[in-house]
Amino acid sequence: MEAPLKPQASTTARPDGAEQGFAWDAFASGSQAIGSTVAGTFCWGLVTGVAMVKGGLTSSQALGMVVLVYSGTAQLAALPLMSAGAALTAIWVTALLANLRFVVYSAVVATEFRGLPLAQRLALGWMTTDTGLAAYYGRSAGGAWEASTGDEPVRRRAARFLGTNVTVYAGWSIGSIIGVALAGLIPDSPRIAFVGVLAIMALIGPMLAARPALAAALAAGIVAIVGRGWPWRMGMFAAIAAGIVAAVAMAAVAARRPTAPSAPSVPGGPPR
Amino acid sequence: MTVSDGYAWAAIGGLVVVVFVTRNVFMALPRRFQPSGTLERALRVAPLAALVALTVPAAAEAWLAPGAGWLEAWHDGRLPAAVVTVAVARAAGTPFPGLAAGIAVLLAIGGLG
Repeated sequence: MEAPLKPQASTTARPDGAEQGFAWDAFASGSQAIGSTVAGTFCWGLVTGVAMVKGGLTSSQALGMVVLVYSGTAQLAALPLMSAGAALTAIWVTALLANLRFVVYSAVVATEFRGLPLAQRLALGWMTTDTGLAAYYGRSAGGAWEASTGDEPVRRRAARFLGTNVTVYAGWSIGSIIGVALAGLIPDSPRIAFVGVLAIMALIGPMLAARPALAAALAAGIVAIVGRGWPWRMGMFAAIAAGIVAAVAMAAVAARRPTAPSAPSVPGGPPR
Repeated sequence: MTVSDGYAWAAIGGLVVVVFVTRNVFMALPRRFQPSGTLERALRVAPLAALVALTVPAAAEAWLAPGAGWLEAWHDGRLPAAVVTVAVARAAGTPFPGLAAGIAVLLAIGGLG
């Protein structure tokens, strides 16, 4: 499944006059940066594949979801609405809200690949994943966005980014396809579906390093619980807004205290 | 229960577009439209808030159900599994150990049945 994705970054001439051809060594280092995290992606894909079939999709529909949509949160958010036969617009808006973080990621990724042709940027943007982006920046979450890529040429950055995200895509797709195939062997249980929720929570954990992030998570969690019955997933929208406000407030408080320690980067990640 | 083919593929087609667009909003925009300053900082926590909002109500469901007893809610196991998942993933700095520990807690307290 890697094949269709590689040529997009391998055949285009660079305006900066750099060496032509695809930087396979950068691709490999990006792939290695993902490391064992791909096992988690595989598990999440597996669970999501099972959930798609348990939610009432046929095998081909479920495969279409995991391979084409390629977004666990969008799929898991849309699934209950599809099972209930909700309006298409409601499904799409829910997926949009559930995936708002990718709008933010696109702002970050866009600054990385400025100068590449639009088609390549769009392809790289579509491949963006939580874990892939985190690994690309050296695994830290809270401080990831400050990471500097120095003088690395853009085509090598693109190859490295592709290396992380193609690996994630492979882990995700293989897990999902196995999940779809084996769904009939696994008993229908909301507790198994909850494993997918745990996978998202496992992604949340490393993000909770800096105080603004903790404040955002606390506020979002409280508002999400209060608003869990609200129509149109407005509770979730309100929770995101509350999280943003809480983080900004916490950052403002911290900024007023010059002795307050600055936000630490995520500890414990193996250096890669 | 199955979802009809036309409806499912229409939904999937729309989802493909939604996901493609959300991941590429800023790719096609000139630099001056990219967020900066406070807005940029604020937007960085949106993904975290979204993930929390997606998961916390599901984890706390047994505790939030009307008339749920504490003992019952405890034996549900989902909330402790969620707490362990987040704590271990945070300590490890990477998701997978947290997921493994959370699943272990879920199995130990309530099983998957």
